[in-house]
Amino acid sequence: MSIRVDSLCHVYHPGTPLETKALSGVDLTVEAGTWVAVVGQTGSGKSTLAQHLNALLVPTSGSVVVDGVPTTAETSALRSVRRKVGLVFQYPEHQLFAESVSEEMAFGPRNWKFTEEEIHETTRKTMSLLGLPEELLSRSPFHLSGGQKRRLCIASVLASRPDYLVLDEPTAGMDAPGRKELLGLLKGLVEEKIGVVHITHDLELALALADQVIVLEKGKTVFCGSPDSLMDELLERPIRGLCLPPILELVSGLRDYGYPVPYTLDAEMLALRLEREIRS
Amino acid sequence: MCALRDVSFTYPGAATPALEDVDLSIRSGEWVALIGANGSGKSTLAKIFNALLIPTRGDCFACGFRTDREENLWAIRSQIAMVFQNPDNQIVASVVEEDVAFGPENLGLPPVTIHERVLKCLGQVGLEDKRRTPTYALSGGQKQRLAIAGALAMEPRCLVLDEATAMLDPQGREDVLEILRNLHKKGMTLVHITHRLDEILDATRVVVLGKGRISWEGDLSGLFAAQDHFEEWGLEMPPLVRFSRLLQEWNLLPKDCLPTLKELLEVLCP
Repeated sequence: MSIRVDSLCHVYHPGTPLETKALSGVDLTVEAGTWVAVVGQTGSGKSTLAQHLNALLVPTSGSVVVDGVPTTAETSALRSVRRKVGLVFQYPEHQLFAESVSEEMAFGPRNWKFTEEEIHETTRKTMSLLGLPEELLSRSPFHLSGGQKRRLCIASVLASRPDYLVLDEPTAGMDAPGRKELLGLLKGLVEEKIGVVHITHDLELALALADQVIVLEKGKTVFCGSPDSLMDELLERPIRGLCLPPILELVSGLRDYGYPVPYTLDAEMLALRLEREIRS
Repeated sequence: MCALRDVSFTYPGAATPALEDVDLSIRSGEWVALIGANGSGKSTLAKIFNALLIPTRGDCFACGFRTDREENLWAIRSQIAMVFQNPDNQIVASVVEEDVAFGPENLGLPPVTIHERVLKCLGQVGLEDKRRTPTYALSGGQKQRLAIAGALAMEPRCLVLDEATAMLDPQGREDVLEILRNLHKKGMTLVHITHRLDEILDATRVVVLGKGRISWEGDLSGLFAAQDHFEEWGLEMPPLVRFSRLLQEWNLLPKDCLPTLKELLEVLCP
């Protein structure tokens, strides 16, 4: 069970003056039950890649295959791809559309022919999973707070019980406890064998949580591998389009100055080690 | 600049108010960081400032004008400009310079003045060389800078940024922060809503909202000293701040050292 992306190229508006190459030669495998982080600057092709994973876009060349079904398959077969891969958009206002939270939640499951009873059940369960109180059901999605809108976007996609979940900057605009909760929830989904693709600017999050990190720059893969190997490589040489998290920059600066402190994202550990060095 | 007196606001159909008894004054030239958990009322408050929302109870004065009088809206909106999270919702034209000109054109200014303003505002956000670029061809960070230029073209006295950096990559975020620093130096009043405490290190005052009320108000050092409340306020100490505070506790770092990478390296590795 996996999504396999092979030599994926995508060109927007081919043959027109607006022609832009958004992705070229991207390879990626998302196994069920793993967490893949996609990082890179704005305009690096992250969101384009996301839209390929559930066939909202189809390859200009190369292929995307979801559990054996290519996204270039005919419409009837594509249904299974869209059923399996849930996509949470970057901006909630691009995704939310219904008049009430309950309709927003029911839309996906109803399309997949859930019975009314199942819809009720999955709405209740998913909303409580995302910490959305049931009293919101009658409210307009557009009158919710920024954080609630974001949770509703995720809940409404999860309600259809996808096998893979693709999230575009899901933690942007969330407060710290909300972010922690969401990341914990995603971890839980991975343990339940759901494949999570997490698109983010936050390299610290990617290094701390993902099983695999892919770094895109101008539509090309500049790194693909484990967080540990990315960290090693980042300290060896700058990777185009990636800034070191401030804490790692600090470690680099301290080491250059002669303090043999370890490479770590852990602020407390760094402080302790530096204290030891200064005092000795 | 703005004064709220016992302001409450309830959205239509909502059981509880989004804001309750908020008393807040923003003085000219201040850089106010407005922080707090999701749903604490930050965005609602921002919209009260420039009369996008009118208090259901209490009074709001913006630049000396009551916000609940229709005849004041023009004056208020031209002096208090807003920048939102998603620049695509704010960009109206297909070419960069036309987008910046949109506001001043609506003010009915002469073409020469509009042209001058466009050049000046694009310069302020570092997009001079993108004047004739189609807006779709800009990166996310550039789009947000364009949205700021569009707001500046109205020559406002106050800029309200509602999570304007949330969607930007680290470089894009730093670019926007640099613009804010320069605007602040020139006397612009800033109200900056964010979840990231590493973005508010230049703020002159911090206001924490919780459940529609002001939970805390003070300066940065006071905020970082109130660490025990962070969870309740939905805040998280950035790693460099946690690192600095420990070293300060152990007297290895002067108390007035800002927890920025540059300053830490200057002090620790002289």
